[in-house]
Amino acid sequence: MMIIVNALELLVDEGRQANAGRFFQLGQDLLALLDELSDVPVAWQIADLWMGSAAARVAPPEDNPEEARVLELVYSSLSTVQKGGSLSDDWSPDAVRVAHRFVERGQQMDGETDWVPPRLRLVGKTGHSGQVLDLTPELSEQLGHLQPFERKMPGSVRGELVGLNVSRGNRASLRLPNKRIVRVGFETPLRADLKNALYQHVELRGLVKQDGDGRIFHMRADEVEPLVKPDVRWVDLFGIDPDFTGDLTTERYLEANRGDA
Amino acid sequence: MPDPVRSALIDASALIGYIKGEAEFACLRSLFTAVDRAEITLVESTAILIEVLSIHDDDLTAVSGVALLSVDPRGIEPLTSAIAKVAA
Repeated sequence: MMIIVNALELLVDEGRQANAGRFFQLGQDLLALLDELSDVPVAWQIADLWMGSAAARVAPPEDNPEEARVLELVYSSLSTVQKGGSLSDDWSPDAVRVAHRFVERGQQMDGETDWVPPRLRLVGKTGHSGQVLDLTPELSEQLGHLQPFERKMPGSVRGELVGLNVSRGNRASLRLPNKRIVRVGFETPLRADLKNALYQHVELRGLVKQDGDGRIFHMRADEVEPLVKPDVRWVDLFGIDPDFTGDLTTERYLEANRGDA
Repeated sequence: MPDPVRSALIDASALIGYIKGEAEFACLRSLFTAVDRAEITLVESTAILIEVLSIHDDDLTAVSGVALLSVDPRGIEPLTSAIAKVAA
């Protein structure tokens, strides 16, 4: 049954006194997962919280209700994995890693005899949807198998800086020309430069992470430089420098730089 | 009717030949005009830009065009394996 989602509940140690460490850890992990799947930083709200068993209802801020789509994405994606399916392209390697950590940290601890799996429960406008997902050892194992390939290397990325959040770690969002979002982490000294560059086109330099298809999905930024719009056109380059390769032919020039032409 | 061309790959030797104004590369003018109009996206790996710019870092007159255009966020797409497969 389709419902209009407006919140997601996390239930820990249902039916018994909750373990505080597990509850807060899973709460933090859940926010980290929502951050990985949001295009821009969202100020997630606690819409309700109750104890005994511990449960927290997480919702987008009132002025940004459309971000509830991320809650639904988390729930539906993990449900699909629970049933043996795979994850969509919206899931970067980082998002899969955080989801795996989230589920794994909710598992039974040594010596714990009355453990019950933590749960996620979708909440619609009219209340509980009846859809519940148990964070089981099998789900954790499945997510471990789905961890995609990634590589790290120094690099630079250009795009529009569309989001900045310093209240929950230093995070930013860069929108590429193809509209994809690259998530950005940075050290505190870069805050002011990024704040000044918000909503501008910039080049970020640092350590990038690529997925198996060569798409950059994350960057640890060390430098930011606003881009200037060029006043020269591509077509103007024709004949702009007849001596570009000096005494060398183009072939020899490229051989000197890379070994072949 | 064939699909309209939306993107184009240019290798380093063609780009250098165009910058040098070699006659056989004059035909690329229409392509670059389309790039300027944002009708076609130029796809270049950063490796090609490095090859083209490598020994000209201190020569502003020689590379000003390429250097300035290479910072235009609209002009260049990152080369991913998906694009490379389509190009192949």
